[in-house]
Amino acid sequence: MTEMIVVKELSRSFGEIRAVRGIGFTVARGEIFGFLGPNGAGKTTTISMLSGLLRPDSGSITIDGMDMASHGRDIRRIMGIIPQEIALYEELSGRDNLLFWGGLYGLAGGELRDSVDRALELVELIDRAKDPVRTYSGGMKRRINLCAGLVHDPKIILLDEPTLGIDPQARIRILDVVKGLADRGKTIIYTTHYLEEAEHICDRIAIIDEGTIYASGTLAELVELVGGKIMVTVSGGFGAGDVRELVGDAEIDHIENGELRVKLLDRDSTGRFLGGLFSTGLHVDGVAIREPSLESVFLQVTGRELRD
Amino acid sequence: MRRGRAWTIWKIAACDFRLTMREKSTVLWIFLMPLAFITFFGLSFGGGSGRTPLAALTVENNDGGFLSADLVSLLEGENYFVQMSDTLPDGADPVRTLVIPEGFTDGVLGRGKVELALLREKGSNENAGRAASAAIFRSLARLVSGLVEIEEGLIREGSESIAIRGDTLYGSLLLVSQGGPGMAAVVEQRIDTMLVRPSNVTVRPERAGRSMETPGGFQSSVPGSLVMFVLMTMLFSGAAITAERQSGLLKRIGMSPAGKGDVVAGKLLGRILIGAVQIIFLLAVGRLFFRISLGNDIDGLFLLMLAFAFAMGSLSILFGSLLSDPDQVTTIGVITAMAMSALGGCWWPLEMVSAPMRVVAYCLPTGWTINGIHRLMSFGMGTAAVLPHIAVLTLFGLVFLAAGAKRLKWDV
Ligand SMILES: Nc1ncnc2c1ncn2[C@@H]1O[C@H](COP(=O)(O)OP(=O)(O)OP(=O)(O)O)[C@@H](O)[C@H]1O
Ligand SMILES: [Mg+2]
Repeated sequence: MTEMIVVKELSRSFGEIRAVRGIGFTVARGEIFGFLGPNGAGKTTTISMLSGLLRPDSGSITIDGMDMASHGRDIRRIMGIIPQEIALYEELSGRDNLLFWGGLYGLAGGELRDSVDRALELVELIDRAKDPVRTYSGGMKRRINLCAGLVHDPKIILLDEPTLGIDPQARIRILDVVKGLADRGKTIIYTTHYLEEAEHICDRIAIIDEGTIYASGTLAELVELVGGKIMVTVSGGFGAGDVRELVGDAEIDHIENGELRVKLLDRDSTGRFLGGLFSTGLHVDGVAIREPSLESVFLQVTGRELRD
Repeated sequence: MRRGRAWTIWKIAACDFRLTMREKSTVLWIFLMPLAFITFFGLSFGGGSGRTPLAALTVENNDGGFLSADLVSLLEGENYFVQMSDTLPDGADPVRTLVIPEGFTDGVLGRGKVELALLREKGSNENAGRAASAAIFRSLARLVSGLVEIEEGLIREGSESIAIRGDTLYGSLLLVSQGGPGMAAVVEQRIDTMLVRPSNVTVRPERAGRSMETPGGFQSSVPGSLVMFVLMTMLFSGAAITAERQSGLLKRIGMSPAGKGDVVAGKLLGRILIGAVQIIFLLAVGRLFFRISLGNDIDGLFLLMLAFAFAMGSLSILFGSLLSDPDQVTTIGVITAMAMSALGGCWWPLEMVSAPMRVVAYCLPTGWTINGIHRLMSFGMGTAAVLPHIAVLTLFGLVFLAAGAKRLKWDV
């Protein structure tokens, strides 16, 4: 396994705000590495540092064996970055935008034109390539935004929430493109705050919040962290004492007046627990059952829910 | 094979150029508005009012007397911009020089033989040379006829030092002035009084080097509008940088292999290209449509204007770096452009303003540019005469550029 991206002890603050607090991770060639975290978690700040745009306060970034501090320009040549905001020339056509971005990376002439055509085909926008970007739908803009970072056939691709604010169909197309890139050996960092996306396409996932990576690994490894247990959350008009004896030998994750969260080994024990709960006649407002999933992992490691 | 930095810079420049040329407002501001201004100011300054000097003549005065000074003022009355050779700026080549010999005043007063020489630079305009000779002859004729009138008066008064006996004229004004204490001053004063009288010969001022009728208004409204609108084009272009920062484009460019230096160089190059198109357009229209004279050195004129575009393009990058809102850039751009145009002499000739305001003009790139254009276009001087101007403008540009590059931020 070749390590394409090695990040150590990376930190960056904006005044009082500690956006990234000493994170470290490695990404292997051909891997899709996901950054899963809520708004303000520090995903974009990390991407900005990886792209050489933002200087870290401390820590090191090594990409394809080159140190960012000394080889920024060489690194940027082999990297494709898809920014979170759509950054395109609205007045230029989709094709002209791609010609510009490809040219910026040193492509010229026939090579540039062929690369642009390939990129347009990849995101299925050949038909609209001549129209100004301002006439595109949100999903089409996202797709051009995506391929503007791919024209120069980068080895490493950083995608910062590339599916933000688009409909499910367009999202699936983008996810397919990303998967295809990984199949062709590209190394990819993919940030998102959508659990399903992370589950669906990432080989490994880092759970990030408040500038800290709380856990990272494959989906299976992460699920293992929560002990592969079913998480049941009950809310209602009861006191902590009322429910404590009901729990029995189940593991209590969280308990307070009006809310109880327990981890149960399997479905049978879950059924027994809920049966017992209802037979007490306690006032229950809601019950949420979560199979072992990234969502429960997120809840477990960060202590809060990740909402879209 | 991937191209290097020069290609990246070119791509950035070409993109900016293209985006600007596509905009409708650009066409308005770069091409149409200047034409409207040239026409309006050209017509209001009116057909050959001759308020601005029409041609230049350098005078090398080796005579200490008052008559040579009178000759110079007569030449100025001929609508010539007379530049004394000892006040010529360093490095300027005079195109044509009138040499007044030592002892000119005494020689003329004594009715001796004096020789004036008109030196011409190789390649200077033939017609302009003839016009200059004609102007010199007219001035001399007025001077001499004035002297003859004074002599006649003195003879009638029965002066001792000058008299007609029989058919012969004895004595001279020189003798009169040497005839006793205070006499020199008396003669000098008589001559000066005589010369300020309106001439009874009316002389129609001709544009040096051009026999054809040209409304003088355009000759000065073209340079003024050229400088003012190139300035506006450049300053307004700062807003695009701010807008690109707001939309995240600048940040994305910053994530590419292009470094800050490349981005600044590309943006500047794009602006200079736009400026060059505007300069060529306005000079061509001025020459072909408004029929003004562009002087003897068009290359020098273009070079001077490019230096100006460089300086102001750099200032636009500084504005784009310092300000965060495109509207702010436009507002400050308009104010700056208006102030610099007015103070720099785009709206009225600097000869009309007070000395302190002239000093202000030379603190501004516009003042240097307007002065340089006049040297080339009105006085027929060559590139050498505007090299100091080009150097100063380049220096302005480098300072703005360094500050702009230092303050450029990718992100809001
Ligand atoms: N340029 C900046 N100046 C000041 N604070 C900043 C800046 N950039 C980011 N921050 C702060 O750093 C923290 C992390 O922001 P970041 O943009 O990295 O989060 P994110 O995970 O990308 O969030 P989102 O999902 O909303 O895009 C936030 O608190 C944010 O306000
Ligand atoms: Mg973000």
